[in-house]
Amino acid sequence: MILRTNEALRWIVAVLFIGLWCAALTGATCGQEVNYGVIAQKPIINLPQDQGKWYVSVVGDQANQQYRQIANWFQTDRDLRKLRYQTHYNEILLGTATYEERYKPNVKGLPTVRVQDSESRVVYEASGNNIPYSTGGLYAAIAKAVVKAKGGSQCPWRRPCPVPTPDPLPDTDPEPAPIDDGAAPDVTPPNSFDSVIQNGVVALLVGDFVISFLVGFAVSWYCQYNTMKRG
Amino acid sequence: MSRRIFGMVLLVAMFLGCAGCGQLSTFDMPLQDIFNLDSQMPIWIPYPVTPEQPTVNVPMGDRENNWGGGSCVHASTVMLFRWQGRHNMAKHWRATYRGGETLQGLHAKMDREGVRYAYTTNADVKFLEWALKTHRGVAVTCMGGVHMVCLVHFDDKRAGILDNNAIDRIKWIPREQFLAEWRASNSWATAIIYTPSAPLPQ
Repeated sequence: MILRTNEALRWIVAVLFIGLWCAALTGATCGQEVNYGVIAQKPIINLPQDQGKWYVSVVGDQANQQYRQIANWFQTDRDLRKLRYQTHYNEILLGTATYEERYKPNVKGLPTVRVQDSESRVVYEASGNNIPYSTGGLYAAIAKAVVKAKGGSQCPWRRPCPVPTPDPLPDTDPEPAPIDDGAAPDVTPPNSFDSVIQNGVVALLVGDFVISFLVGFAVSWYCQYNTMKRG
Repeated sequence: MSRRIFGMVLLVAMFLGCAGCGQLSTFDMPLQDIFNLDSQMPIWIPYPVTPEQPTVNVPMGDRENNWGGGSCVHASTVMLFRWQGRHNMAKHWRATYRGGETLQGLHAKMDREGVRYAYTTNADVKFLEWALKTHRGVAVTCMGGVHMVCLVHFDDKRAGILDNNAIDRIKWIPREQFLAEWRASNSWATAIIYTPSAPLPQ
């Protein structure tokens, strides 16, 4: 009995010893897992592969009311805010080194809204009085240009899916965009009455062609069938 | 009976045909409008571009000299903040921190300030490639680990270095030479993760 107790104690001690070693090793491994980086003390599993993201620049003078209004649109309007998160969005202020060296030589006026693809091509640019007067107008103009640059067509039945947007964070700098893998922005120009008519005309023409073809085929078949029946 | 049905179908087909023609003639639409091509804008064709070099072309006015006798880590960080549009954080960082810095020290400060960052210490070249491919840039150690600079360009042939001890020019080094130097310098690299500046338009 005594021997058995001793043996049991040995086993307990051995298990505890091994357990402690495992715990220590796990802790050490956990500490090394953060080797590849952290975001606010959370390990990064995947770095954002957002090299395909496009760029939106809003350039202007902070004292200018039109600039402030446009910059505000990108914070408050649902569509423009979504576009902002889908792209690398930059606000460039007059007087900064970035403006002086990277924008002043190539903007046509202030304020300017510029959209560039991931390889620097300007896809859309408007400045001063050429900037649309409303959020809807600006979004539609950008969306048309983006759709055209992506080589797509405007599909009236294609609607943007609702995307959850995070609440604004208190920060002295502009709210950072969420970290994600990104490519060209997914935009859908709003449907205008003209485009509905245009699509309707195309649908009518296609329908007319198909029906006419079927009717012609049926008539010729019917005539041939009657001729064979009589013969 | 069946002839009547065929007649009716034929009439419907003719009506549809006329409706289609009517729409076209009434609105007198050019072909490009039918296919949704905006007649007021030229057709956009993706033209070839030459990538900007260095990739992270920090403006001269945003470059930061090493200050206070050995703040190379902070100077590199401040330049990357500015490149990624975090001007207020750059200003705060410049005013708050100085002197020599360690990996743990820098990351503790970044955690405290709520900065989004990533780093490596295991000579992971893919990490450098990622940082430059996404146009963010990265701070890397050199000179045996006693100095930190910004890696602002990294392709299959060469690396571009923006040294906070000589901010007026980019130092170009063959890729392998740079990697050898980095590996011999603790191979530490820290990148901050915000919005990179837009490339110059072409």
